[in-house]
Parts: sequence; C-alpha cells; structure tokens
Amino acid sequence: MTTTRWVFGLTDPWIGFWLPVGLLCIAAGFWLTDSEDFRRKLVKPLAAISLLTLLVYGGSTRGSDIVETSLLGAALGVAGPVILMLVGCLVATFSGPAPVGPLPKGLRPFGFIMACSGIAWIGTTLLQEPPGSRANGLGEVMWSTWVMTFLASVLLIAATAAVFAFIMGEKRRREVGIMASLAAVSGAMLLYLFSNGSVDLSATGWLDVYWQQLPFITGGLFGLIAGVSALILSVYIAEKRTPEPDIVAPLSEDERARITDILREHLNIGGEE
Amino acid sequence: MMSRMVGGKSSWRWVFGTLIGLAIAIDVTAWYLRGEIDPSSVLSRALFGLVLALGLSASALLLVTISAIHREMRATEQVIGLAIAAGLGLSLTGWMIEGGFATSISGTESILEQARIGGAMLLNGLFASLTAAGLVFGLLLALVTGRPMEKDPLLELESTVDFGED
Repeated sequence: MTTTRWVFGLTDPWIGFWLPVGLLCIAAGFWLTDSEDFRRKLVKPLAAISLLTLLVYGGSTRGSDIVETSLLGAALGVAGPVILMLVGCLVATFSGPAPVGPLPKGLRPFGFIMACSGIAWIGTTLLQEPPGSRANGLGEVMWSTWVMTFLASVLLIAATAAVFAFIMGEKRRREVGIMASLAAVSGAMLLYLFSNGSVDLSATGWLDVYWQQLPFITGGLFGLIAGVSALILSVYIAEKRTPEPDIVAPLSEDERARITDILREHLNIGGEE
Repeated sequence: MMSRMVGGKSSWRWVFGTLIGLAIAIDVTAWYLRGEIDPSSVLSRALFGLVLALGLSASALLLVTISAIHREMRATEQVIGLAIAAGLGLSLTGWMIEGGFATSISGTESILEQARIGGAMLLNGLFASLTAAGLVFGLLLALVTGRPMEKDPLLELESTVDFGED
C-alpha cells in the first residue's frame, strides 16, 4: 500500500489532497452543465476518483506530521458526532407533521436525543485521552481548533436564533427554551475549556488556540463571503451588459387561433369572444 | 414592548445586537483569562485569513465557472471578475507572508507552504462552522415544523376539497 502511494505520488499533499479538492470543483462545474452535455457523464467518475485519492492519501494518517493528514484525522474524529447530529435533525423533522416523506411519529423524540447526543459525544472526547492522530503537534492544533470553532459557532448561532424566535414569532417559548439551552450548554463547555482545559490540553493551550486560530477563521469566513460576493457582482455586471432582446413580431391569426384552441381544450376557457 | 417590535427594524437590532454582544463577551472572557494579548497580531491573523479565503474561494469558483462554460452562458465577465478577485486575494496573501504579517503554526517561511497550511485550517474552520449552523438550524426547523397547527379553513371549501386527488 505504501509503495503504491509512493509510486503515484500520493504521499505528496499537492497530489494527494489539493489535486482531488480541485477535481471536486471541476466535477461541481460539470454537474452544473446541461443534462445533454457529455461533461455530465464525467461527474461521478471524477468525484469517485477524487474521494478515492483522498481516502488513499489519508489512509495512514497519524495526524501530527502534515497539515492535510491532520485535517483528515480531525474530520474522521468528528465524523461520528456529526453524522449523529445530522441524522437526528432529519429524523426529528420528518417524524413531525411533515407533508413530504413522513416517518413514524414515535421517532420524533429519538431524533432530538440523537442530535443532542452529538454534542454530548464531542464533550466526552474532551474528557478522554485522545488517539495518536490528535494527541500532539498539528493534529492537536487542528482538532482543538475544530472544537473551539464549533462551540463558539453553536453558542453564537443558537443564542441569535433564540432571540429571533422570541421577537419574531408568537408562542415560541419551547423553541426559545431549547435554543437558549443549546447556547448555554456550548457556552458552559467553552468556559470550562478556558478555565480548566481538557485531558490532553491545558486551559492556556485552549486560550492560545482561541487567540491564534479563531481570528484567522473568522477573517476567513468574511473572505469567503467576499469571494462569493465577487461572483454575484460579476454575474450582475454580465446581466447588466446583456443587450435588449429583439422585438418579436405579434402573433399571427393562425397562432392566435391555435392558442385559443389549446386554452379551450385544456382549461375550458377562451372559447367565447 | 416586544409585541410592538415584531417585524420592525428594531427587532433586527435586537438579533444583531445579541450576536455582536455575545461575540464581544466571549472575547473579553478569553482576554481576561489569558491576559497579554497583542491586538495587532490578532488583527493581522484575521486579515491574513480574509485575504487567503478570498483568494482560495475565488479560485475555486473560477474553476467551477470554467468547467461549467457552455454556449448560452455569458462567462466572460464572470471569469474576468473571479480571476481579478483570486489574483487580488492570492497576491495580498503572498505580500502578507513576505512582509511577516502572518505567522504559521508550523513556523515555515515558504509562501506556498504557509498558504497550504492556512487553506487546510480554513477548511477545518468552515467544516466546524457549517456543522454548528446545520445543528442549530436543523433543530429549529424540526421544532418550528413540528408545531400543531389549526386546519386551514380554505382547504375545506368545496372548490379545494378535491384538489390534488387526480
């Protein structure tokens, strides 16, 4: 396996990680083309090759050596809680009075329990000895940054959602209560990490991660918004520069009669002048 | 007091005020507990993240645009606009690294290496933020759609009672 990875250059992060990320972007572009376009047939093979390359590249990750393998190690470490939260939200939504694809109503509490268990799972990982991939070095920085960003984001978004539900809606006490509880739990976890640290990382270590990585990621989110805004602006300019369409000739008598026939046939109207 | 604010501009002030107030409260707590924070270093890291994310996201969107080009598409403006944004972001990133405004977690000096490390960290942060947003909005959606609603009287009218039974 190691020989294969070496032969194909998959030990190099540019080939093993960034090339598949670029190929995924190309696959996304192909997917946006017309369904008759030959490029649509290349979407699945390209996506499969990219994911396979990422899997092979991250196959022997130890997390603390290269930043890309650290990222894959951190993503793998949180895959369980993330999937649990995602499935929990979907189960809770579709087991309610949903008009589309409803699930049995008895599953609804389990959906909420699953979603909340995801956060609890992340909390328990902070009380245990971490695996080798995130015990030290870049792996530890990547993992702690993920946890810190996740908790801060949940706190901010849930508190904002609670205020939004309180002000904008009527009789939304339950929604406000659950959102406020979610914000309080993540805030308490954040405060605990700031004051006591976790099993493998001291409080000072968590605060260092907060002050070194969170500003970088916050700036990055604004940069992402700026990138998307550049796309919107360029599409707007393109639309503004589009020439006016030619004036079309009015309907001929034959066309008018044909339309009247169609309306009479399908809607039972238009028959009377 | 609250009922008068429903749907008005002042409601949004409360929502955004909570968001900004909480963000400041977290920062002040972390500052109080850590002490000795260099604000210029924090600001330069935020700026480094901004320009790098601008360069990378515009490059990714440029790649998507170029691979999606077809005959009916007005792609010239889109390609030029995204190329300018990507070039601007990546040039500023290189300038910040060369000027020593960005300090890497691995201590490397190479521009490409630092951009690579920053890109991976941005993907990590994006994944965490999207997970958090998905969890909160997913739960909120489940709660809001799960509310018992009174039956719509319009659906009981003679003209709508057979609607959709074809």
